Amino acid sequence: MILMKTRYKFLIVFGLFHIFLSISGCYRWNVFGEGYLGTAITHYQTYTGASGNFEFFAPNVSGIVRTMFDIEYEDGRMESQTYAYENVNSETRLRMGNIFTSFWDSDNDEGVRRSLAASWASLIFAKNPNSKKVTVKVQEFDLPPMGLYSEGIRSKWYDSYVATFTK
Amino acid sequence: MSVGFSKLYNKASKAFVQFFTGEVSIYPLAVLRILVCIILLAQAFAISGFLYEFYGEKAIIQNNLNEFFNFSYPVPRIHHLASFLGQYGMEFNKVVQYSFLFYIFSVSCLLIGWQTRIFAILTWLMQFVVMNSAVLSNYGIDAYMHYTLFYFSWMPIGRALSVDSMNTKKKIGWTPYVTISLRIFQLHMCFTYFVAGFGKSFGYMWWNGEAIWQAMMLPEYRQFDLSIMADYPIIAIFAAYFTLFIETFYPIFIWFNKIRLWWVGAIISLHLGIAVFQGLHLFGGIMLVLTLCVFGLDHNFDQYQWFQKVKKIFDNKIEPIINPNTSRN
Repeated sequence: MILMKTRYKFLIVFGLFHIFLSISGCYRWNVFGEGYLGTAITHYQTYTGASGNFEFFAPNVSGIVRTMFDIEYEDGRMESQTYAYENVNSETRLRMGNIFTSFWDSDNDEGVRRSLAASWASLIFAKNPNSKKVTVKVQEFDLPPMGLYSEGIRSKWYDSYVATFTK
Repeated sequence: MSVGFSKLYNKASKAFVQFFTGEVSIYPLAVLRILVCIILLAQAFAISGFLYEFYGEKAIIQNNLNEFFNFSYPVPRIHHLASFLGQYGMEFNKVVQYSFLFYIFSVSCLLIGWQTRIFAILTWLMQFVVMNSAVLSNYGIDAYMHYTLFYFSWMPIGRALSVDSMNTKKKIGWTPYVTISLRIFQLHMCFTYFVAGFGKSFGYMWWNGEAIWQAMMLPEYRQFDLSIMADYPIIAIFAAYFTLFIETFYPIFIWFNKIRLWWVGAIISLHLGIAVFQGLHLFGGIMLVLTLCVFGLDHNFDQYQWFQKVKKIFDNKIEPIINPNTSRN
């Protein structure tokens, strides 16, 4: 058995303390208060990943949203499109989907939702220079439980938020 | 009574010291370094075509809104660097491009293990900056990468399978530093899996199989038509219980020598399932790699007869080819 050198003792203590901070960061325990020490610890947790939450698909699997854009052009044409992230690789599609799902994360703050919708509408206007009006529709996906699905009830998208923007 | 307590204390102390300083292989951390970097490069390549949609001046979420969703205190983002260099005439999107290229360069140097410590620290910090620059696009893989790269910044990940280890004249190999690092990583893995499994156990969907149904059938994840589960819900229920069991009891059973490889196999099958049936290729990949390297490679394979046979074949047939001067007498 090797005698424990001081630097190894320090490493073990540091490592175990880091794991403790990871646990407290995950469960949002405010162990060190709001003072200078608490603030320093919070920054440390952020920079080192000790504030990560690993409760994925927990406690339940959340639904998903998508954002559709109804575009009205100057010549009267109408078109519906997504943000064109359907022909990309799965990693990009997933990340773009996360951005549009952020709509749900804005905790029903109407101001933030309006700003998000406006931000996306401006991108659509930039991509489609001849457009004059864009209706942003955030849709939620309704997947019936297995029991209802086996009885013939099928999934659908439904509008949960609609906002219209004109140039 | 105090003698009994003293004996117990001595025994526990010895076990504790042995756990953290007993000799282990130097390869698990090295292999982990290589595989994590491969996944980071694959991830960078995957999003490279849409760099400006995520991080550019006219990104999907513009910077003022990004700040709203970010932390309540400043964290470094590409936007800050771009704003600073913009004063000297550098275009925003050019800063994004060069930052990304530097990130890829850093990961590549870490992959081959050249100036490992420096590039481990740089990769950790760059990944943190990239993560914060499009915080709404992040998902599970980013949390795992973030803490893994922090560990890489101070753990001895370059002692094997690296340019540094080949170039040095110093004899480097195992020291207690390696064991301590591996054990800390292993304990962290145990905690993340327990949190994942325990958290799921509070959801009713995981007890009636609906969680698997949703996870496989929502358009964001759906790769195949698995609607047959609706007619045979036992499939979804079994998969849900398997997930709960494997994750929640990971911290206990992964340490049993006789069970470890089975548990590693179960975890690998879980994450292969996630990659194949949910399209979460990189997430499934990194989770698989973490357990495979941190626990799967830290295992006494000599206890298995099949491993002894493979070693014998290697020694008898392949070794003379690799080392023709080896005497067999």
